[in-house]
Amino acid sequence: MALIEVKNAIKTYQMGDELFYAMNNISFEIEQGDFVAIMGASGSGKSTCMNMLGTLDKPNSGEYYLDGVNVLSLTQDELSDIRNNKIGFVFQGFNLISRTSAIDNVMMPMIYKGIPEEERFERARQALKIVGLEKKENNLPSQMSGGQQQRVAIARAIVNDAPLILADEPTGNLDTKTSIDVMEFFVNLNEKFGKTIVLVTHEPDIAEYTKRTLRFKDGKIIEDIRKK
Amino acid sequence: MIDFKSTLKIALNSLKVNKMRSALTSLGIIIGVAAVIVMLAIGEGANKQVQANMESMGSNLLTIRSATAKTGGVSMGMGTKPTLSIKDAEAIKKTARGIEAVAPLMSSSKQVMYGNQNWSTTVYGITTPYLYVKNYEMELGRPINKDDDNNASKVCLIGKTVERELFGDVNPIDKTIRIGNVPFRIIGTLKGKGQMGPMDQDDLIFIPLSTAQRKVFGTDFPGAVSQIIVKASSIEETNIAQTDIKDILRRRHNLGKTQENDFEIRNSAEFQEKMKSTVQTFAILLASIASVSLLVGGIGIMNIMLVSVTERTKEIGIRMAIGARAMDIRMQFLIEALVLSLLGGLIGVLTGIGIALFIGIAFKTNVVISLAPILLSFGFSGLVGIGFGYYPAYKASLLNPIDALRYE
Repeated sequence: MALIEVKNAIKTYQMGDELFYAMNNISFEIEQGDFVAIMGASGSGKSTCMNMLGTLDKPNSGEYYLDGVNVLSLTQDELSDIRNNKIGFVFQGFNLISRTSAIDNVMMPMIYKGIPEEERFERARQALKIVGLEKKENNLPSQMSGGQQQRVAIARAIVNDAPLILADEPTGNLDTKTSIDVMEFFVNLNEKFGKTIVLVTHEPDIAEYTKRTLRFKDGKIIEDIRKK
Repeated sequence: MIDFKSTLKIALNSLKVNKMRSALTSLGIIIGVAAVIVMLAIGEGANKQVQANMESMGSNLLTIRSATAKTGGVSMGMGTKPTLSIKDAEAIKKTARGIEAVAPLMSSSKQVMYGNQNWSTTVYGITTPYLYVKNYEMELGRPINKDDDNNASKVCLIGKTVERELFGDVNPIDKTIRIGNVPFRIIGTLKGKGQMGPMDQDDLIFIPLSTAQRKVFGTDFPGAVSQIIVKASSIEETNIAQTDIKDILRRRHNLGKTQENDFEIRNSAEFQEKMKSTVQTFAILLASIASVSLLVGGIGIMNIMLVSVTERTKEIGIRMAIGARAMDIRMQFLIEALVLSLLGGLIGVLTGIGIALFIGIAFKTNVVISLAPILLSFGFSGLVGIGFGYYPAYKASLLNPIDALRYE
């Protein structure tokens, strides 16, 4: 069974008099352990699709199964638990909580999962070690570079052992060298830890790191290429 | 749902991050709670003071005086026409219900001398029950007894003020003073009772009533007294006693149905009730003014929390994206408000106690700090926190995570 299964997803917005199709009857599957890049121009529907995958938004119609669970039938609280347990988010703008130390940021998903404090510290330290920031655990986001902040965000995304990582233009705010570093972390997570990663980008060389590319245009998937 | 300790930690952390704002927000509650405590301490102090004064005056007392004498339509003032006699007192004692003690007396202002010292004071001709009725206690020597009265002995008790003015540090017992021109031997001194309003309750001399009537005041009517003080056996009995006394006196004074009383009865219970309710009204007034400031403090908390929710929209979005439920967000903001108000309440309580004590010392007023208002205002500040924190917290929990994440 595929980790992600989307069937006939439609999402429309009213733009003045016109109906705008952000997702126009989209269907696709993503297997466990895959590493997928979603590409497309802005307005192509890739962000809408990511929001749906992240259970932050619902389509008007269609079906979405995550790990066999019919996500669209869940309540808000159940969605919160899904996001907490099954999904790790990495955003373009890092989205760390400001004036809060790296380790506190990483521990946050575990707080909402109800993990005891001691274990939280231990696992957060481990996650920070994976991204190579074990010495920066008490630094505030404002005291770290963009690359470091993004690595803290990655640590936060993996700390709850979520099988799926959704990364929305994770290198969009980083320079080329840092981008490469970050992408290597993703490759590592995919290969060593078996995480399924879905990553939105519009840079072809970033997409090069992935195994598969879904190209969006006008709310439809126009290309589905598997590399290697 | 996450555990309370972690929520508390998150809340404390975000309060710590905004130290100045947190402090200013709490200030409203601090001032409110402190005000409530100070006001109630002052109110309660006044109440206790009044009660103490009442006690020192004697409780459940009925004071009977001769009615105002009228000379050609001009009122001559209370008790100027001597209509009460020692016989009236005896009749009351014998037949009135609900009474515990009867104390007839005569009083007048007199010049007293000891050696070359002299002092103007009020001399009371009393019988033994008077000391008990008016709560006077002996300091040295013995009280006036029945024999003194029967023999019209020239003995006296002196109050603290008189003792100080005439004797200084000398022991006055068995010394002889002159009241008017009559020599009196001092058989005892009274314990001090202090001021009652403008009245010095210690500036007096007690002599036996019969002595006063025969040898000092020189009245036209033998056996006349200026007042009869009756102590009722309880506060409930005062009204019965009052009715009985009225009937007895009207009968004894041969007053027809249409005639007015030639005496006047004052009920100390009424006066006490009046004083009490006045003081209580005063205390309630103070407390309600203070409560308003507590309420304003609560609105301050709501205001700041609303600003904080807006300002931290993005943070709320992040928390929701990584798995916080609406309830978790609500709890976080509610606890922040609660911590602010309870912390404010605690500091307010301490500040309030401090200020109340300071006022007590600086203005020499009676302040009473009791547990009830402390718990009350502390509890109220908690309620204020929940009450005014709920709306912002609820608002935060309603945010849509996508919109919140996009918020800059």
